[in-house]
Amino acid sequence: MKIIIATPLFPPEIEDIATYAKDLAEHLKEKHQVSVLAYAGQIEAIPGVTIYTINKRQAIFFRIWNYFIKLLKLAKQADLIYVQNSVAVSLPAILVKTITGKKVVINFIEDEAWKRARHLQLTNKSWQAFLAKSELNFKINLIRKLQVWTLRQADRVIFSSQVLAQAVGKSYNLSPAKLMVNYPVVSAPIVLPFEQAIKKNQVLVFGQDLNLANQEKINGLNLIVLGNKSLSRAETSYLINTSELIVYNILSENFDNFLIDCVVANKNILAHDTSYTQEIIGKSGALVDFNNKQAVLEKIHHLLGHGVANKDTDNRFVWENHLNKLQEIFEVSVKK
Amino acid sequence: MAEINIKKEWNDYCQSEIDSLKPILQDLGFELDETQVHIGGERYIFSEKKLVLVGKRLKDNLPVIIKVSSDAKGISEIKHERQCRIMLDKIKFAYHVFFSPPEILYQEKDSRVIFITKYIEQDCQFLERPLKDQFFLGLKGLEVQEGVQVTTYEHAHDIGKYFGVWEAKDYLQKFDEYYKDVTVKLADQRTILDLYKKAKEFLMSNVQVIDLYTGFLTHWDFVPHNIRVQGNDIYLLDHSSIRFGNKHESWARFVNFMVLHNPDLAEALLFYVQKNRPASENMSLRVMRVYRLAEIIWHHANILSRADGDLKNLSQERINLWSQVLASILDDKTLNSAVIEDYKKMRDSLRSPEEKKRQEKLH
Repeated sequence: MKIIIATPLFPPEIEDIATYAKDLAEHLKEKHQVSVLAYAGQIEAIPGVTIYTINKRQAIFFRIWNYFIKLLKLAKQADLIYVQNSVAVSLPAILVKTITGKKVVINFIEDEAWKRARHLQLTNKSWQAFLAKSELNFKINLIRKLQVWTLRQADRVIFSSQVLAQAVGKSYNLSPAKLMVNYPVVSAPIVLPFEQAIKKNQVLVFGQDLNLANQEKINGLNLIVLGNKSLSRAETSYLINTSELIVYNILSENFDNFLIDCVVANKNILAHDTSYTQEIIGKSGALVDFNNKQAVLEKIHHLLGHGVANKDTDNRFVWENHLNKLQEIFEVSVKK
Repeated sequence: MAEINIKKEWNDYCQSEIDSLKPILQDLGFELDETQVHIGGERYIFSEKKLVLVGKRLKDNLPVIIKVSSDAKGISEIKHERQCRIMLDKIKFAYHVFFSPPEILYQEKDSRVIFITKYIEQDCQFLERPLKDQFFLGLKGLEVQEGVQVTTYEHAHDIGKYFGVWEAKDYLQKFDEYYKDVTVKLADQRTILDLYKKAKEFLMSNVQVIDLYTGFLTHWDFVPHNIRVQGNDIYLLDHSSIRFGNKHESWARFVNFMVLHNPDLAEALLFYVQKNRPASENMSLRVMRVYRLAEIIWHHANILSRADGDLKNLSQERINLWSQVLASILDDKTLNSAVIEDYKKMRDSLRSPEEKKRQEKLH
């Protein structure tokens, strides 16, 4: 198959969307003819993959227009355009689809409207709350509308979980037939120059403090609360690896792969009982109602003492499975 | 000019500036501390006439840092630093954030600029922290910079204007300036000039890799004395050393600094890049380390040409040390740790008590 990976970013940029585009191209080139189109000045080359770039140092209209023209030319020789979700990419891709009839699959890697609204400090709402009622200025409103429109026009839209697919599908009124789930691949483990032995009774809390009132029972636990701290990926990875238990104190989707990283690292996890945690954690953890502080404390002590029974190695988040599923989705899209 | 004259001129300037400043600060509600370590020691040998003073706000005894100058160049530096600081505040960092000490007062009056910020207390100095803390804090500070690219930013034009944007050609041009200057100032030191020749060839053969990683925010003097750590937050003290350039420039400065001050940390950071980043990043870091070493040798060559006595001897020792580090990087070989230890012994025997005191407060 001749595939174009259409992405807003590409390494040396360091955002996940950029590194995913590069890693994916490296994997797909084994079986397919792959080219990449990115907004970039410089790019880290991949032998065997042609990478086309659109200069970012121009006004947004010209940027998107030039991207569209280049994609139009490339699409004539391609079977499918695989878009990494961003309006600056999905919009030209859908226009190209309208003209050429080429199939477009969008990878809903993140909600751009929400991400930008957070970045510009226009909202501090969770994604679910933002979906329900968004604080939108003109720009964010435009991005949101274009995002919805392009998702509706795409042949398939890929989500990183069933829960996400259902939520976006319902909120953006997408046809259920085009909603696909392909679990993300965790990034390569970070190699650190330190020993990473598990520290007894170290509990890493992702999210806010648990506010456990019973100090007597907390005594002896080394609770590390990430809260709003900004840590390097390396330090987060170190804390995951050295903790005996992970407490995932997050209720809503936030488009990070923290929980998946913990599952892949085979950690014991205690989390809120939500559809998302049920789907991702599987047998790796225990779910509990965090309003019941006593139950949370008891679970923590129990898990520290015994771990989780019958924990299986979870291989949903590896490249092999990700690529197989992607192949399926591409084939179905092209046949359509 | 003989060193003794330069020192006298600096001390006279400091004294006159402090004498004029005291009543002004009093009116503004501030006073200076008795001891001012940042203007002592070897500070006199640097040409900038900008004083960094410590003091407190009278109404609540809040410790403050007072930057002041009545010299045209010094004024311009303080103004530029403040503009960069304002611009940095506008940048919405993608991942993490640099904090700035809160500004308390800025005044341009009677040909003098006074810039007062809050003094940021820290639990302990950077180099006194455990190695792991230093590693993760350093990494976070470096990754903050990697998260910002000029090309993707809405204020790209203003960013370029205030901070400057460097590409490979700019690094090569600056290197040539150092090389030319060193050729005069170290004319009789053939080994060092040969190293510069080799370094130039190395840079020229890696132009592409330099350009590959340009466009990133980089603090070219990212070292412990320019940051303060409070809790998990990194405060940037010097905003004038930021530009958009090769992202490994700040890495290079930090790692080169640590070769002397904490070799274990330098090794840990190099290990991290080697194991977790593509080969091109490793090469880019190596190239930037070479560039920054050429700069530091040039810097000490300048001091050597103006210094006398112990400081002259110390400057020569510094040139020798950094030349050996440069040679090891060009040859891609590990530096013998005895080189560092021997240098430290020599340095400590040549440093003045005043300078030792200044250094204590720095890192």
